[in-house]
Amino acid sequence: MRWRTIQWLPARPWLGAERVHIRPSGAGLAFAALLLALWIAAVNYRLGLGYALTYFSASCAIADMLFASRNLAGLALAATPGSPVFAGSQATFTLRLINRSARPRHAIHVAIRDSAAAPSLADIAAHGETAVNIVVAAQQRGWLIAPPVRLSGSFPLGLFLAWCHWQPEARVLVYPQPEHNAPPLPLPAGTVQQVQRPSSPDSPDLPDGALELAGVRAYQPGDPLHRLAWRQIARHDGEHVFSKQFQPAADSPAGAAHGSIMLEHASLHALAPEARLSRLAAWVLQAERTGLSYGLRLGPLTVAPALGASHRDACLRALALHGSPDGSPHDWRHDFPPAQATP
Amino acid sequence: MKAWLSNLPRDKADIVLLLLSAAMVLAPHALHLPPWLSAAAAALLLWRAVITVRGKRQPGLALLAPMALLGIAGVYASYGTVLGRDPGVAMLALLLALKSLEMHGRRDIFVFVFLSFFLLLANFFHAQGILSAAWMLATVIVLLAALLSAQYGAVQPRLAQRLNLLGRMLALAIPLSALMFFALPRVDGPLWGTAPEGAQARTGLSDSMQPGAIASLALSSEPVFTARFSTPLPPQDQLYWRGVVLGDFDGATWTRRGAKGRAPASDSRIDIALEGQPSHYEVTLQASGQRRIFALDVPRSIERLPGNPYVVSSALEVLTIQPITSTVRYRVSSQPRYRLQANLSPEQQRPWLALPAGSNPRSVAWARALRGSGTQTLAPAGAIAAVLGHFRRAPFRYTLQPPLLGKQGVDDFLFGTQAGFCEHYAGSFVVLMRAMGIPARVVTGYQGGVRNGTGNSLTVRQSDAHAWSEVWLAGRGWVRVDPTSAVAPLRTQRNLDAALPPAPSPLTAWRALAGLDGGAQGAVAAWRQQWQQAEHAWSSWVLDTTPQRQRAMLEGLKNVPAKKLALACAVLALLSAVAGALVWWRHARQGDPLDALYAQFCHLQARRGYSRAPHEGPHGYAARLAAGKATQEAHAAIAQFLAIYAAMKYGNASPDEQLRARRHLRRLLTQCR
Repeated sequence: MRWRTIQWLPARPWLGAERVHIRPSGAGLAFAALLLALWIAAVNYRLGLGYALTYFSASCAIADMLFASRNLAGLALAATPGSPVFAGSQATFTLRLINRSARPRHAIHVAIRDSAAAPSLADIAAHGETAVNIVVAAQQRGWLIAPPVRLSGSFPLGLFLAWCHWQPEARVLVYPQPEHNAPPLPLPAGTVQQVQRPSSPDSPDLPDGALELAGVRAYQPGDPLHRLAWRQIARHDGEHVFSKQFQPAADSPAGAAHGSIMLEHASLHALAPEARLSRLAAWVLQAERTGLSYGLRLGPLTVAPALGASHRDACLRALALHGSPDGSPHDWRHDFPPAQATP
Repeated sequence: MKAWLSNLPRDKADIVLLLLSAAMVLAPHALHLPPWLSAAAAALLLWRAVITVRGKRQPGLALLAPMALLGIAGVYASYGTVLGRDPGVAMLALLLALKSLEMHGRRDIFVFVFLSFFLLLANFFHAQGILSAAWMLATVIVLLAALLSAQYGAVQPRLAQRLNLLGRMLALAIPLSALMFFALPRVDGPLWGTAPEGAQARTGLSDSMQPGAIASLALSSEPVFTARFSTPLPPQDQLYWRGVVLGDFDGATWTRRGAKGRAPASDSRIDIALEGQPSHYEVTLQASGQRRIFALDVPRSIERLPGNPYVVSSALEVLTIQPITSTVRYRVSSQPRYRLQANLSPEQQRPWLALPAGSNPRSVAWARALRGSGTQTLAPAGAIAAVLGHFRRAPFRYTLQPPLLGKQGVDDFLFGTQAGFCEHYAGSFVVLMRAMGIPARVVTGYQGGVRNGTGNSLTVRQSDAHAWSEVWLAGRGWVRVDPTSAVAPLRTQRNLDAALPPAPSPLTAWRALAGLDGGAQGAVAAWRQQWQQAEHAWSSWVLDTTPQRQRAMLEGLKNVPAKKLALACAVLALLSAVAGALVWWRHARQGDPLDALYAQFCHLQARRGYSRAPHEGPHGYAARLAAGKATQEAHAAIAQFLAIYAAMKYGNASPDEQLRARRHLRRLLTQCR
């Protein structure tokens, strides 16, 4: 099936029968030829039962057409918004195929437009649902809209191919790609020499005097591996993971008096616009890794210095949406109907 | 076995199902294919089954290609050609068996199934009875199940569930196909050429008769036709179903007059005078591949033989233009009393007097002596009576296994063995008549038939094949004389079994045991009659749907009174309304079946006075119900119900478990009243 340019893809997450298209498959065309041959044999040899077999086979094909269409029709569809990713990596959308009827649905191919990836095959039990992951390359920062999806299947007899297109209402936020080998954090004067961060995350723990151990907290996604508090983990049940928290040493010089730095978009005017955002993203990650409280100033937007995963995400979101029309990080949910809401 | 099957990996189980369907497709063909081919096909399928189960590799093309060539050579050796209908079917059967060893993908499964469909149809060349249809239906279901099983994705349900889905498809397909079968217009006749007669040859009367020809027919219980009378059934000894008239004799074989070279031409004027009341009946004739249809003497009119005109020869044979390759039905009215060709000139008599020179000299001399000469000459009627008297008095025997006869067959029979079947008696009688100068001929056909219990109908089988003779008497025309009845009167009054001596020959014992020919009384015979009735109805309704008949059905619809038509429409409208409501109702209650059960349960408890509070969960409700009043069993059932409900509702059960749980809950529901 060739993808055509689809002008309008309905947003309703419910496959009415009118949205399911159907055509004979290759095997179906061969079956039609077979029916013709059977009919000719029945006519030529005046076989009453030959007619019966021909018409019975034809009726089975008609039933197959109906059942193939019913295999898709009435399916409810929902998309779970994927978690944000960095540009240059793969974004994953989770599509949920929900079967509200008492008949199971089988062998539904889920394929993405413009993707050579093999379609995944879904079976949905009666009153059940199946999640299908589709993976899309995230190339640009900003919102990545889920690609149009084609659902198809030739179940039950394989003589007809039923298909429909669906635009999942899901998008994934793509953060700017962090600059590789970014320069060190722009620490306020006096701390630059003292704060040395590892060039790579798996280097030995920091011996830096600028930071001191502030305590231990539950591991949060994004905490670097070398900050794991192995002693606490071992002492506890071994299932909960803790990471060490650092704060700038009390004796560190001024400028870091509040233990924070401000990452300024404006200060990077020498770089290209996207490169600026890339560097800021890299700095956000670095600061988070070192446990240095950081803030972000991005045009009119200012994020107050803080630490933690949610703060980091807020900063990265601001970077991802910088300059885009729906740049405001708070109202993005309202441009989709409520049907799309997360489950 | 079942456990073994269910433990088989899915792709293997699919192949096993496919092989089963192939075996079902090929099984009826085994009756007609050369034995070596049937054996080879069975071996190939078995081989594939072993490969599948053992998980071995399929043989490569280097092995399959020589096997295919060998098979083609075998077909050529068996049939003398690889073209034509029967060799074609043999090739297809071979191809199907070989294809089973060369299946790799889904595409091959389609090829395999489609090939099977064609072979399924080829089976109807030989049989179109009820059993064939039932077997076809069973085979198609297995074929479709195999096709369906191949279409599933990662999850394939158990066979019972697959068949359930198939059943729902068939519930749609079967009425639809019935509608198409009766309503779609049929195309008349072959689209090109004619069905070859030679390939259609079956057991049946032929255009010639030599000793043993009819006796071999008598061994077959295959039905030839069924006649349903609308007038009273004629007496058994009047049931002579005329077939072929044999007039040429070469000393050993009787052949149809002018069978060589001359096509049957309609004799526009047959000198015939009819007397008495005709009898009317309808004949359902099985496909014979031959060109004759049967009727009682004398067929006055034959109706409804669509697309296949017939001619009646001067000897009153009814011959169709095209061979009868499918079951046909026609109405006949016959005249039991008639005068046929009362006046024949000596010129016209001559062909019926011819005897080959020098053959059977003893018989000829004996006949001449019997007739006498000069003033002592016997009148023809007297001569006939004298010969029949001789047959009756001399120690002639009626047997299906007569001794072999020499070159002078009639001499050997009359003066030597004196044991034979109808063909011996009719043949030698005609030779004696001709020797006496009386025009005579042999007529072959069927005599009698088995009356079907309830209906006013008869079934005539190959075993009723018979030969008798006709002599021409001046002023009286052709008169039927059955010399066999002089020897074995029961043969014509009742049937073959009655005529055969009660000696415990293995044949008769077997026939009696099997209840063939209605010989055995009791349950078997009654069942057989029922079956014949069913077959008659089957052939008239299913096989006999011709374009003419379809038109007649439509015409019949036009003549239905308006009141009845309105009533039928009303009933139809009511039925569709009910069906619509049913669909709507099913749609409306399409919720979670578990919730529906719970609602039922709550309703039940509410009637007992323990209605569930809206805030109450199943556990809290269970605690309150446990404190309530109920019998011991009801308490147990209630507790179990709520426990299972909670586990299913909030747990993480697989669909299969859910199904089982729902079944259990339904059972519990009846117990906790």
